[in-house]
Amino acid sequence: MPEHTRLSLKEIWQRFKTSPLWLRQMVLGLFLLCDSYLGMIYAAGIIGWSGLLTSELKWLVLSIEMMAGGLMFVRALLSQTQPKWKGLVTVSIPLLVVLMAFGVLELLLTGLGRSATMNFNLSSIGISSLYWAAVYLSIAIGLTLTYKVQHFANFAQAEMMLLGSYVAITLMWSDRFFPISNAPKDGVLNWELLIWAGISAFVISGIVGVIIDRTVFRKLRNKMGTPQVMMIASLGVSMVVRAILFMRYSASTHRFVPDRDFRLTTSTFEIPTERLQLHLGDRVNAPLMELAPSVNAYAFSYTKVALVVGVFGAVLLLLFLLNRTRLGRQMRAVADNPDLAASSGIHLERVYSNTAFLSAGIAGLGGALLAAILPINPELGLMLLLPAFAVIVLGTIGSIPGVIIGALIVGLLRAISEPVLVGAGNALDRPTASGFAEVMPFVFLVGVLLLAPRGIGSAIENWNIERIRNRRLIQQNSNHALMNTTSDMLGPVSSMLARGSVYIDQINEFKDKVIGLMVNTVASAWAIPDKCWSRVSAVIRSACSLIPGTLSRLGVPLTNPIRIARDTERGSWIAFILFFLLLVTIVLLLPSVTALTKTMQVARIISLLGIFGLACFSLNLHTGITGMTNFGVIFFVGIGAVTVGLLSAPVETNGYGWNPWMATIVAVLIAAIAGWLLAYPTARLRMDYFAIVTISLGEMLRISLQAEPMLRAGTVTSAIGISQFSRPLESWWENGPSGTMGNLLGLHVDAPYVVLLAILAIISLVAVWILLNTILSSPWGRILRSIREDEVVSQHHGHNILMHKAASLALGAAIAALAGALWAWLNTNVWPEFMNPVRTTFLIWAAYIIGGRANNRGMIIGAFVIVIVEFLFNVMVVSRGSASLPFHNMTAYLDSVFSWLVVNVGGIIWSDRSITEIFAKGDVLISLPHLKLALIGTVIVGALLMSSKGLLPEVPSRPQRPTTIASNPIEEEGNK
Amino acid sequence: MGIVRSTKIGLLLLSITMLAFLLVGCGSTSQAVKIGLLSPQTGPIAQYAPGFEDAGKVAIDELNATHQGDFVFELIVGDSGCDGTQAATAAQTLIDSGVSAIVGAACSGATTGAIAVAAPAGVPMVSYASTSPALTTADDNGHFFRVVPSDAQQAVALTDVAAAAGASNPAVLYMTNDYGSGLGDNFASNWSGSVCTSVGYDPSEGSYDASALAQSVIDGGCDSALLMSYATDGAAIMEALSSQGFKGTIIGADGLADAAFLTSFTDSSAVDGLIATRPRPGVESEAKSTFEAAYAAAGGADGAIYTGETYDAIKLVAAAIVSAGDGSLVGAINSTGQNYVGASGTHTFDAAGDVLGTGYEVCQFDGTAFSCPRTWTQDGGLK
Repeated sequence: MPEHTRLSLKEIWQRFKTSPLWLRQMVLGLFLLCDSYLGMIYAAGIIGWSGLLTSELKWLVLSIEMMAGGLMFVRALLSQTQPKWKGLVTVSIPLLVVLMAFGVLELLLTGLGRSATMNFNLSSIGISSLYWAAVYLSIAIGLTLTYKVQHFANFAQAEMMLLGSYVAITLMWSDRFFPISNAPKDGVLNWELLIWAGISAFVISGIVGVIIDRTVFRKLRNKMGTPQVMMIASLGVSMVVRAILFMRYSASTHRFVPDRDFRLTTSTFEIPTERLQLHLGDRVNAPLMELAPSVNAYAFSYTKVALVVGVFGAVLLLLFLLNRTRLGRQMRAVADNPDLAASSGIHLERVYSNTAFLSAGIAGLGGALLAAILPINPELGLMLLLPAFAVIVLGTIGSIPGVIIGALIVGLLRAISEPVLVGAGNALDRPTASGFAEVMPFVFLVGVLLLAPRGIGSAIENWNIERIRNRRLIQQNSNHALMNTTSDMLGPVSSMLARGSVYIDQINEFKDKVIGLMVNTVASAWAIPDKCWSRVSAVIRSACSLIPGTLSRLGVPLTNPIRIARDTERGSWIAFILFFLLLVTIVLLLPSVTALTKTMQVARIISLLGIFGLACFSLNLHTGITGMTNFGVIFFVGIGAVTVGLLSAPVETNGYGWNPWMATIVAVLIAAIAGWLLAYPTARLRMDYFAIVTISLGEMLRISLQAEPMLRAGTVTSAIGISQFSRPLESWWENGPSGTMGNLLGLHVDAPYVVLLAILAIISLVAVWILLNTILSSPWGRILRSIREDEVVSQHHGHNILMHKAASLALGAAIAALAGALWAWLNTNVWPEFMNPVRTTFLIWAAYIIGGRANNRGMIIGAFVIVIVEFLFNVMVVSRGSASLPFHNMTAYLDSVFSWLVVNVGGIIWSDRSITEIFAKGDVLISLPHLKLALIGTVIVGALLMSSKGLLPEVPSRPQRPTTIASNPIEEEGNK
Repeated sequence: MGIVRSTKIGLLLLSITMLAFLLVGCGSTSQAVKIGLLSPQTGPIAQYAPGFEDAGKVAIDELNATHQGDFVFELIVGDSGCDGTQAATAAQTLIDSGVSAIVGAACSGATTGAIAVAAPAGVPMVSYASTSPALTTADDNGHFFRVVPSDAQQAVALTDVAAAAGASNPAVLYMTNDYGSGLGDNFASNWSGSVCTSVGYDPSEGSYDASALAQSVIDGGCDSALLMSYATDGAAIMEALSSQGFKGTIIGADGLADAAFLTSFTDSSAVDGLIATRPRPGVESEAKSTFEAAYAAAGGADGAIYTGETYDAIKLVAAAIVSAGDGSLVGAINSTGQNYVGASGTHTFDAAGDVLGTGYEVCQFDGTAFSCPRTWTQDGGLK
């Protein structure tokens, strides 16, 4: 008998291994569900029995296990649903995910023997979700439109929204409208300013959108820039626009008051409401759910009504325009296939301009209406951009109906997550839990994407196609009587719609004529300065061409003195050395007062170069080599920094008191495991969806640092942040080598710790560089590249794509974690702000694109440029304070130019009041930190326009082509 | 193709070399005293940066008027970005420019990052707004001071004020940054009664919905609300509370306790009845009113926070520089900062560089009129 059992066990295992994927997933999912259930309710199961984890950590792991099991089970079920039900099931996934989360919470609370009461005020939630939906939609609709037609994510969309806000505020300060805005309360609403502000915000933002499209994106389109390049260029554009808004309107907040009566606390619609009380967990005699009367009616303020009506109205108009007019058909045709559209006589550039106008215009309108609700400052856009990305991904990128539904779902989620988190947080001794409300859209999105990898919009679209197909079939088969009666019934409506579409097309043609006229005028006016400019540039060019000649005369052996072909191995090295020396020269020229401060400055630059260089290597491995668009570099860097910090912080202050070396090894391992595991659920995701998942993970970690007491160490647990952790070799350094090094550098004092850190950073950077080069020139490197080029072909050749992707993710994550450890040591603390994507992920991406994708030498140059730019422009930022500082005179000159621009040039457009409201002190001074931001943005855009493949493009491993073919620059740039 | 590329490289070379010459050519020496100011000009609290800088300018103008002939004080402003890495780089640039001391930064994360640069360089730092307890234990080698008391004490004051106002079941609304959550946690641990709900929110505009927060206070059946917030978000929440029909008492901390808080409202009726605490100014001190008058005269930014602290930090550092001569500046700051009467209270540094504070004054808005009739001290309680 024992033999028999053994055999059957083996048999079961064999069967399990050979059974289809969905069955295996289902079994594993069920196992995880049961195990975590046992763990929660009976303190049994793997986690309960093992006793490895205690208290909070145990419950956390159990909840995650249960959620993962549930998702896996449902995913397996989904893959087996009938095709005709698939659409419906996919759309109901969001509900399923929410229900699952409630289930986990219920069991968790029951297991802990606690109860949570959640108050859902129905009207409050309904209206709050409409409000959030409108806010996100005003950015997301433009994002998705740009994505649909031009296939790239436009980061500048949020700034277009802000532009609309500031147009409204400027209009409010104008001589004509200020009396309306400033009028005392009189109980009568004056709509004039609000309507004018909405229209002008729409038009002006739209025009700015077109100008940006013409000056930046069109050039990149002509150079066949990839979507990634366009995206990073839009990041640069958004920095420039934001910086201009900062300089003109300062960082202070301003409100748009259309009429004081709009903003009174009594200017509201009273909406009757009821409370839905939900009791979860160990409830004593309380039902799961009950309705209770609300003490007050919910007040829906007029300004919010205006925003919701305005934004949803604009979106409906856009839908009409897309589906009913010629312009809309053209846009859809270009979205489907630009070449085919062009061949059938559609003017591509005009369609792109129209898209840019509409995207920016709707965002601007939303911005103007939002300014009536929130105090506006130029940072606001960044807060809304990431949730807007979540919205477009949830609704399937590029689907307009999808984005509307996505916005409503995310809005609803924002609104219900607050009461849920407050209720659960109070029950779980986590009063800080409500801080997570901000990332709930991301958490939810990740859950949904695991189940429906293409978002819910594609399901809607498929359903739509199905519907149209069916209708066609019915039309063909049956008589048309039924159809005719319905169309007769809808006669007046449809003729009205038809007339509307004719008007829109007429307006569009008229607009095209006007724009054509304007373009011609500008072109003829520009002709003269343009001629001068071309002469000047010719002179500069001839001057530059002398340099290589001089070099060769000095005996520098250049076989081909003019041509440095950066896409060959040798040329790439030469270019690398040239750029590197150039950057080193700048470092040496940066001013500093004493030898000590100069040493510290250089050491800091080297340390940052090491950190950013390692992060760039990681990104390059993921994105440049393997082709997975990773927008969560900071997630892996953060894992490294947080783990190192927590493990090596003192035990008495919530840390673990480890040796920093051990902590680093563990951190690198944890990050590698996280990277490996990430590959499984995300393998099916398309490029952009993977990007959103990774950026969401980064945000989740950042908010956890803010709101989760377990991630606090170094002082009391009420203090956010990790500090007081020990750093490697710190005591060894201070007891000897620092003195020696100090003498060596001629400092007369001990060399500070940052010098040692710089040495560590350089060693890590070079070691990883050599390691990566070895790995990438091995067969495995070629497999990774083949996955990037064509996953299907690579799979066809017998490679296990999933394994290779997982290995690539793990290796990259480990490198990023090392960067994180160095970063934690340099900063001496880990604070949530350190993970802000604007200062980390986006900068690393900029370095990666500027340096040159898939070229590790380029990564070093890119990282170096990003680090140096910060230091160089900082010198300018501080220069106003003292006449003795470099650039001081230049600052004064810049101030006068800026003042002239704002007062004399801008004064034609805006009123004096709009200047004195901002520059209350009388002097119109330029804000230098924001000028720095604008310059960084310009560097990014400029570098991409100059060379869209980066400063050091990838060196192709294929044999050299005959030189005669590679003479057409466009052809070569387009060669992906 | 090749020609075009190499020309571009050449162009880049040329322009950067020219920049480099500019950098070197402009350097010259001056005997003026430079004081660095780290201000969060970009990042999540950028909206408060103009206030800090305006307060800084008021201080420097006054100093230059007092010390005319002896010293010329210059304020060198760097951008902390409210982030450790950027603040440390900015601190490095300030030190490279030759500042004697750095005032800042505002965000606690930025401050700890900057300490790691300033302390090894021997440049003392005085923060005007970092309240995190993590700074007490920071590895600063005695170089770090701050003129804001830590949150713990104010939380005790707030519990007494709330009890005196008859609150039995208060809602606690706090920002999820280090200031707000420190205050919120300490209030919860000192409050003996029940807390009806405790809600954290991110004070960046566009990440919280004030009416939803207000509704959750009302739905919880709370009889009063504590606001651990800054001025702009505090005003938004108070307006929402008023518009949702909340009738209970609202109690705030030092972010709201200022007559200028009124400028953050569009409908000023919502501010009526607010009770708020703030550090107590020195006995019979004119420093506060002098500063406020000068700040208003200089056209300082509206809705600002921690302006008095910024002003004090700069004047204290300047006084220490004057008294130090060629001696140790760190020692001079320590000795200047004993019973230093400033606009934001009387400051006395302890061994860790923290100020003990002299208690709090309890202010209130009646209609739109602002007054501070009561005080709270550690020993005496509420009076």
